[in-house]
Amino acid sequence: MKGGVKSYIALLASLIIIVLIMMTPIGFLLELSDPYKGVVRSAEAGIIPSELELKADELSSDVVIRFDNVGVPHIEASNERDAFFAVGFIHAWFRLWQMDIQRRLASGMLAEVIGEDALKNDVYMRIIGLRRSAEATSEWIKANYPYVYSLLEAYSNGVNYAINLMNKNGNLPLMFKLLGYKPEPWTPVDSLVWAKYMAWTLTNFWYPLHLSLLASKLDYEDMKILYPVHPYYADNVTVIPGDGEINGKRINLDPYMLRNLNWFEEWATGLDFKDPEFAKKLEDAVMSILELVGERPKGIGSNNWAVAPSRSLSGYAMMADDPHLPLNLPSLWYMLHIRTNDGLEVYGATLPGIPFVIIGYNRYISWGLTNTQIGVMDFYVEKVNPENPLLYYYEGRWLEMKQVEETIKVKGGDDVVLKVNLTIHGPVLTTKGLTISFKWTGNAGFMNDNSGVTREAVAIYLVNKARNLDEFLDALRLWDVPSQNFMYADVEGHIAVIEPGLFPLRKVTIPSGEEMLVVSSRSLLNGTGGYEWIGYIPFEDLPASIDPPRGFLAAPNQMSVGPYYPYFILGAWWDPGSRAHRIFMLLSSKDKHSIDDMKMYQYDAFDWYAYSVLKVMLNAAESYGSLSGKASRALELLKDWDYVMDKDEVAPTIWWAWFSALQDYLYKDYLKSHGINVKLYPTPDATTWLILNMRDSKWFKEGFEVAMAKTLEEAVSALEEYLGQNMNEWKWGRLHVLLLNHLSGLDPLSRGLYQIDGGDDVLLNTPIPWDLEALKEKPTIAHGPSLRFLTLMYGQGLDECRVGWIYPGGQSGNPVSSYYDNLIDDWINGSYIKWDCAGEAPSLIGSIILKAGG
Amino acid sequence: MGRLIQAIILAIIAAPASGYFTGEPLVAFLVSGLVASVAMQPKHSVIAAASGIASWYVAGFILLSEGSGRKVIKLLSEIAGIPDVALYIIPLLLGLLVSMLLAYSISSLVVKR
Repeated sequence: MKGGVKSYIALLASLIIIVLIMMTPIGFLLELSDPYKGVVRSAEAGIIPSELELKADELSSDVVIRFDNVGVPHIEASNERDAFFAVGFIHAWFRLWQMDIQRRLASGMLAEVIGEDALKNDVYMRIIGLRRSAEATSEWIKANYPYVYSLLEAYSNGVNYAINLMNKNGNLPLMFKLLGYKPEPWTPVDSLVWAKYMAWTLTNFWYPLHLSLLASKLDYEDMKILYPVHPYYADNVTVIPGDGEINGKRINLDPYMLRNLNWFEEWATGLDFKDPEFAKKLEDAVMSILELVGERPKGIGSNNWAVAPSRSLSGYAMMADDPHLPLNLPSLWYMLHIRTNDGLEVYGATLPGIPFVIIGYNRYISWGLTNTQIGVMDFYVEKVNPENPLLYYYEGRWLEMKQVEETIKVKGGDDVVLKVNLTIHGPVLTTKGLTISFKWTGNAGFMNDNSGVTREAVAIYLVNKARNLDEFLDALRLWDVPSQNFMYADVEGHIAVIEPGLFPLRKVTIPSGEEMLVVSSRSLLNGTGGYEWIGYIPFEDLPASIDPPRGFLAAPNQMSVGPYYPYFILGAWWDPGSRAHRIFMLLSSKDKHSIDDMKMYQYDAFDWYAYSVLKVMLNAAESYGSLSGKASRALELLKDWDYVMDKDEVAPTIWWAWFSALQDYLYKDYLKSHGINVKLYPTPDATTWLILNMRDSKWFKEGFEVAMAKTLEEAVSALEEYLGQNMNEWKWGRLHVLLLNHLSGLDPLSRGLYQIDGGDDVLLNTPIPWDLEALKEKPTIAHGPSLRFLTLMYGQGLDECRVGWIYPGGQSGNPVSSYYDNLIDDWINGSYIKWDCAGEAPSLIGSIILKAGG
Repeated sequence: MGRLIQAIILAIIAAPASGYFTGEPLVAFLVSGLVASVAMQPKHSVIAAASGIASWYVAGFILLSEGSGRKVIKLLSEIAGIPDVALYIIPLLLGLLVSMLLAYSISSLVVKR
């Protein structure tokens, strides 16, 4: 009897333990630590094998992938379909979780694997409708470019082949195991939705919202000074040399008069921003949209430039490109080299999830991208029927909104069903205060029919294959979103820049009665008709320059064209031009440039704003006469400064703090007193303008000298508080720190903190906010040169060309791989991975052979 | 004695095999416990079950012997905020506990009948 009880107790105990394992986190921990299929097997994901042979039925012939000593795969295939199958396989092999989380982010499917915390993102993305547009684009490419579609399919097959292999071997990447899910099969829509997401993040959609809010509260005379239509110091450093004339066409109105017009008035927008009732509703609406979309990220932008043979020491064309995008681990970029027997050979940077090389070069040409920063979207205030909120007024009649039902799955919770309302303009973003919808080129599509069809996937494939400038330009006829500055250099010695993309045109009648065409807008527009897009700038009229006499081109996001461009660019979110001024300075500084010069320029941390205004600020503060000892010392340090944001110097810290304090002095109380509770300070060029041209104005309340002295004292006090009493220890690197955050946000998978050179709006663009108060939160750099890419285009053929590149991360997404973070130090130190392109890949360390199965 | 040897052999084969093919440690624990109970005597069953788990664990550890595998466990311990030794001990302890209790109870109930 006693033994019987014992055995029942033992049985009961074992059952309890089993239940505990199944129902509590112990079970999850057990699954993770399982030696067979737990996290330990994830060590195998994203590892470069010394030799591996796999059989793939989808291939028509064998593909050989050789890895060099920095982890770059060199893919050799007999045809393009097999090559792109291999690209899909390799992307997934090294970056599968990143690819999966990116497609989920863009499609609004994060909550399914993360839970309620990600619901806000999903609601946002489902409203924007990137996936809906990607689906339409996929169908269109399938019907109109079946061969390109077959490459997207081959890529998907390659990804799925890797997924199946990893599932079978139990070695899915670590994050799948930590989050407890498995990836769904990949489709061409997944590739296209990531491209749409990248385009969406480059729309600068915050600006019309911010400016609308400001316009409803500030006097227009102030608006004109603080938020000018076009940046202050931009006319002589435009992307396209010259005054803006193109194909013999010039704007037929005085562009300077146009810049001075109040583009928020009713004639321009159909809205009365000064009506207090409207202003209140507008504030509610804008704040609710900002709540949904989040804050504008700082530091999105890029540099690129090209030098003609006439200005190149070697006599060959050179090109440089460094896109300033989120700095995360795994990196946004993945480098590869494809060579096929049917004519494709291309090197360069890909985005995991997208098959084609985005920034790269082939035997004949090289290219790099920066964002044009031209408005590609408009927000519309819809007039809604008070009786029925699904009816809106458009061109004299009530139309019914289209409703799309989106079901969002939530891990550990119930599904959320979201009804997205669509007007003729696009999705409704808010109904708080006002009903606001938006129209974006990525959703409107290249036919401007709201189909969402865009063709950039086809365009970039053709760019990969282009053999000369004509083919390159032809390919870009199909480039729709995001609108980019494509910088170009080739082996024939040509350099060029072109801004392809969809730029929406609207017809406007200005107060003097003249009609004109404007691109996009600066604010919300009346949605009842009359403020609509009538088409896009024709390809032939797009800003472009080929082989300019001066021998160089540069496009670091500055103003595209001179004032006489035939279309008035109203939605102009251009970088104020500090980086453009600096690169123009450097490229004009000597007659000939070497590839080493190009490297130095990409790493240049010279602050053009400091160079422009610091002397005036110092003189004023010094003339004030009664500075504290610390402030006087700071002043002396700044006097000897060379304007370089060097991490080991103290002066950049003081400059940053002083300029931050000055901006607070100028704008903080002013904006608050006008009821603006969001930090919408003007860009630094406006502050520079005030310092250089309006020293006796109301902006420097107690006088310019007092303002300078006072803000210097404030800056020094703030730095004392955060960095201690010893001024010698206020090195810029203590504030200017980089955190390479893992996409999951998990600390053990992230890298940093690194003290680095650079700053906001310098060529080495690695911003922390101009904000003394932000010091409390210990800000880190989140955006910057996500890739540095250089080409020297000499000789006919790949075996004679030269290229250098680097990005802050590594080729593998596996955190225990030595290729996870191996490039970070080189990136910080300004070193490059150099390919000699000498036929065979250099220093091979491993290979995968994909054997054709059929 | 013959049954004990038979049970040990069965357990040291079945536990790692079931763990490997299903990827579910719990299945390996259950299989080890059930198979071990063929030893009939509770004490013998417990020994056989422990042998099964030991072989499951050791075979698994052959996979773990590679440095990068241990690096992932280390990483997991950092993420979970627990010492990495716990991640090695948890599966072993739970495995022993479940399979030995199960083997003991089943075999003693069978003997009783």
